[in-house]
Amino acid sequence: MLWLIRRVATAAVLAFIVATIVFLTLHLVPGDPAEILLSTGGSAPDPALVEDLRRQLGLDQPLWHQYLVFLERLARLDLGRSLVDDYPVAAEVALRLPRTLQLIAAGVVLSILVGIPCGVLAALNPGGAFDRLASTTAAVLLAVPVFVLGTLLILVLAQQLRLMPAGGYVDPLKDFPGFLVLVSMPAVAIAKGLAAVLFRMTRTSVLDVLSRDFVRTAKAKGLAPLRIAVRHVLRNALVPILTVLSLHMGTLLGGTVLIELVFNWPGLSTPLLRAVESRDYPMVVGIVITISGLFLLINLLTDLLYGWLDPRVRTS
Amino acid sequence: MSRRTALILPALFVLTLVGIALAAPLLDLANPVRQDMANRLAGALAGSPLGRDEFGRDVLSRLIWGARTSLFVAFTAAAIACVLGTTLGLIGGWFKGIGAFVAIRSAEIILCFPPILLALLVVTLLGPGAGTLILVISILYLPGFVRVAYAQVLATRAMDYVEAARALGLPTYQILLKTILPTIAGPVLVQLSLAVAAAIVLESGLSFLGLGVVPPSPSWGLMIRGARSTMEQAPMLLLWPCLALTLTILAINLLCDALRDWVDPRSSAGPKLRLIDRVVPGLLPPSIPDATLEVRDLTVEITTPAGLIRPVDGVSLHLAPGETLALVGESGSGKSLTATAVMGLLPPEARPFAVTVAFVGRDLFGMAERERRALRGDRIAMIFQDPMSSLNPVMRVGEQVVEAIRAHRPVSAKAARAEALALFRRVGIADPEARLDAFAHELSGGMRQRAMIAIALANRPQLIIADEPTTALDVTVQAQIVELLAELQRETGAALVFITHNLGLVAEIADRVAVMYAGQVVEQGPVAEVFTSPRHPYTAALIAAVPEPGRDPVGIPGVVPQPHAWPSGCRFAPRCRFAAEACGVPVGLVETGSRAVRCVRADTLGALAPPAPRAAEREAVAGASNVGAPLVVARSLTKTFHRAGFFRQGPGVQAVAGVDLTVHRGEALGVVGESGSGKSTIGRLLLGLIPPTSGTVQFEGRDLTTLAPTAWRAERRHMQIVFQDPFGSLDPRRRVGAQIEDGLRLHGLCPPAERAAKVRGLLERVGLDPAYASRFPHEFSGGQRQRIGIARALAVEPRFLVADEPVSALDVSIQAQIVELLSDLRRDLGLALLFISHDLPVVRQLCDRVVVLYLGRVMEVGPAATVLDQPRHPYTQALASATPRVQVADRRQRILLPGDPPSPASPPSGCVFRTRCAFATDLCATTAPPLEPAADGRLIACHHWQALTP
Repeated sequence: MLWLIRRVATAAVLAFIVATIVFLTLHLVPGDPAEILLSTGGSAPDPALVEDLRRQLGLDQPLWHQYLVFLERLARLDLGRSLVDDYPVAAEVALRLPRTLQLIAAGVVLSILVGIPCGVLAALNPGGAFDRLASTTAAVLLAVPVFVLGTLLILVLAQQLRLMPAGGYVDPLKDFPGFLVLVSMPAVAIAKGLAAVLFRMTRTSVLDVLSRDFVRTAKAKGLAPLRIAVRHVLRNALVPILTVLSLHMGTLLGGTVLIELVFNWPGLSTPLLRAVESRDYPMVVGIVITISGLFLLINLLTDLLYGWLDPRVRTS
Repeated sequence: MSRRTALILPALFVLTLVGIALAAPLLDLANPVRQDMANRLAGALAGSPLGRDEFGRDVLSRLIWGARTSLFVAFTAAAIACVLGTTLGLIGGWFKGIGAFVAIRSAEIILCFPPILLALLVVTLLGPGAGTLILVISILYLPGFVRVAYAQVLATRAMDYVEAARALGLPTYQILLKTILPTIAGPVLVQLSLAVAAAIVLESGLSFLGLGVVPPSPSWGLMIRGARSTMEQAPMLLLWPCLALTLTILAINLLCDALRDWVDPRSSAGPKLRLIDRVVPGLLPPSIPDATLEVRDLTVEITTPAGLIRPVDGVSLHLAPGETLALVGESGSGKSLTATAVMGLLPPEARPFAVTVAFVGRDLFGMAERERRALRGDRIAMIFQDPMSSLNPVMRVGEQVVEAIRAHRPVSAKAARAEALALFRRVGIADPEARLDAFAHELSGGMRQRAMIAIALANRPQLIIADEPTTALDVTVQAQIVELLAELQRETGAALVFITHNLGLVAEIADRVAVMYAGQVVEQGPVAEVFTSPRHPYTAALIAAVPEPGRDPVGIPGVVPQPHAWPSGCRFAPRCRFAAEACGVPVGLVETGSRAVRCVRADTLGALAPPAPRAAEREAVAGASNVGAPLVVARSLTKTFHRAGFFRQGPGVQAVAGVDLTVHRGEALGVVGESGSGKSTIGRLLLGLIPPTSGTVQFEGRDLTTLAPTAWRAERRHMQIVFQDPFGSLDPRRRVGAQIEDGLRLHGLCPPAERAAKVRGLLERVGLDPAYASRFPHEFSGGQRQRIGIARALAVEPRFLVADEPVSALDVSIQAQIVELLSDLRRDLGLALLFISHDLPVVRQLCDRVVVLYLGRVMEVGPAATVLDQPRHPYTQALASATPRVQVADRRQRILLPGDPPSPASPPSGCVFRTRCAFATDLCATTAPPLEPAADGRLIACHHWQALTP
């Protein structure tokens, strides 16, 4: 129980630190932030505009005051307003976050369903035909960047073979089959890296557990091979697999930014990229905090799962 | 693909790519940014083999210039992250402390951001461009290097050879550069190639988003971005940069994998050895119909890179119901493999053959795996050496017992649990109900082994094979387990195969003994007969190597040969003092009555007397006369270890509590006690390697705890340390001679020109060939490494040597050799020795005085002969009586201590020993007894010692 509280507390502290760092980035850059945000290609910005932006961002206030306001707003889930169209950032995030989450969920489920069983299968006969085929595929998949795979999928399946729509989105609550068709290609592209990593880790981990002493004990008890695989090998093997899963969630989350662009998926990516281009600082900060928070949440969940899988973690 | 090609091919690819990218300005390429709208999307043209892009720019030229941009950004960023991160990690790992903690944690916070998002945040502020990219990528991959370096430093720091370097007085920067950096270079290199690949991906991704490299500069990501709009008309335009990007990353990834394998040989599976099941069905009927187990001519073959080996070669054993057979021999003799083969648990690479392996008349090797599985865990059970790793860490121990029951009998889960509870109670697990639901890590070592025994007994087997079941346990706990096994065996009438290297245990538990050497049984017979009148020279030598009261042990020269280098004749002949010409031919096992011997000269030699101990030894033990003035004086020494936590400091573990200790010049002081008694901590405190929490340590009157770093390092030449683990105590990457030389060089003890000669002399002094100086540690056996460790310590001509369990990792024959060496050195060099050991007979033999520790406190201290032969303190008495003896006649009434030593984190009040003491009274619970002098020169910390003295 103490362990649980500690994990949640650590996650909360990390979230706080992340928010602080995001807040500070603007001030860490040398020079006047308002001037920097308004400058384009070396020409000095209009001083009146700079003064306006300064007031809008609260930069005329002392730093500690700005920080407290920032935290207080964050606690109320108020992420400020866009510099471009004065639209509340939180509203934009609320509209688009669910769509990004759907894509992430599809990607994670897909990679787990493919990566882990393939890894177990490969480990049961290392060096066999399946192992060699799957290992090679995983190596290639790891090397293809997500946006390259996404673009190539569109080129082949949509443009050349005309089997799939090239992109787009439909609400799963309204048209679930249509959603599945549309989500399949981006999900494959997003899942590829994680699936390959999970495959590799599962294979290594299962091979490792198979050689442990307690598996020998299980054999010495006269247990059937299937029971040994399920009761003794799999659960022990899952621990490192889970670690890898949480470590690679960051890459997967970053991948969605690229993939949403490639497949015209109306998630957080579009406003984020538009905001980066137009230097819409509050919008960028709002989305970065949202996704980082999501990342921390996923890591917390895997941590908790980790404790459930391995009792030693709970006491350490 | 061999390991070499796996490394070289991708390395060549990457190098070629880098070469082309570097040479781009020299190559005759079209201008990558010149637009030519007339040839927009043109196919192959003269000078443009890959055609033109949407602005009519040359594709090949843009690909190559693009590689230049990508690789420049990736390599620069990765290099910056590598240098900064490794330095931070090195410093953090070495110095620890609060600053290091902050450095490590702040680097880890970067990991809380998904990489591309952090990049976007920075791009928003700084605008796109190669400079921004390099900054972002180096920040992003910094934590990776910090982590790798930090983890490696922590792992390496704990190695004995690093502590040895500190003990020699090597300055910190030299330790970091010489010992640590080479160790972490491999993993850091792997991390570097990972970072380069990841940087290329990130750079191309950001450029693809239009937020990386600024157009019109060529970049692969930008090329893909541009080609997307025209993918219908010119799909090839998209394919080229995609292909270039994927191939490059693939090559770097493959290079990375190969590097990892090269750095860490364990991670690769190695060539898979095919299982050829060439099991020979039983051709002959079992000749002993009522035997529980009959093994005839069991051979195990393994194909290794060095050729075919037979680590078990023609072993024959038989076991009657209720009988206990001990299988003894040094490591590498094949005892465990024999047992594993009988159980059918050999790894697939090992192939067993036998004329007969029969269990109550049923041929084990001939039956189907299904039938064999039905016997395993039911009729035949096995207990393993290391109960921690042999229990599933994520499954409750009770479940593991229930599982064993239900695998063979159709009982309900509830009934099985009730049985498990009864079993736990039977094997003496305190609070069995709660322990059923515990996990292995929540039990003590002794409890775990009891749980393993419960699993083995679950179905009342007829045959139990116990493979070194007590080797990992303290001697007091060992006594409990051996007692339990004997009792259970009497109860169930099971036959027991007991594998051990401890001859004393054999004498206590077994009816018959089979002595194994180099894969063969060399002597077999009833224990009492074999031990009193051994007929094989190896058996006689083994017995003589065990330290026993009134007789000094004699080591066996040399080591057990490797299975691929076994002599063609008698395998023991090279180490045998009776070897003759006749021993050059293979020898068979000759049975006479109840005994069997494998020695051609058995008849001529008759019953063998143990070899005479050397005369010099007698003198050394008798003559404690060369003991001089106090050399090391410790007063009220206390050491408390705290576990650092993120939010709070963990509870303190008091390893040493108020110990007063004096080591005199030329004296050998033994320190004995169970694990957790603070033996090793005292050794390190006396050397000043760790600072005490309170109290003082004085060496020749100088207080070690207050010395400045330089003075402290200068002091190193007077005191040295020898470690327990012969494999961890030498730096695997440096030549032995160089490691011995360190101390000479550092303290300027001899002119550079004479150092080599001095090193050769030192090697000779510890009984090694001087030519070994140019070899690496892995070329030596455990005993030889221990000698090298001693030579390194002796190089600075210390006056004080701490030997921390220097022989407990060694076989008994080698153990005796090292003890002889230490004893010689003491006599010749007048060295003061702090000998830390859990082996009472060795201490008795080597030391003048002995300190008995329990939970970091002194229980009894005095002359070794007095204290160990007539122990007064109840704890010393229990410790002495728990030590198994070979000589059957010498067996005393054993005092079994209940339970395990309490945790040093929460010691009992008053006398810390009272919770396990049979004589404890109310006084003991309230008042800690002071050390009181007895008439015979010893000190005892017990309220009741006078009442207990006979």
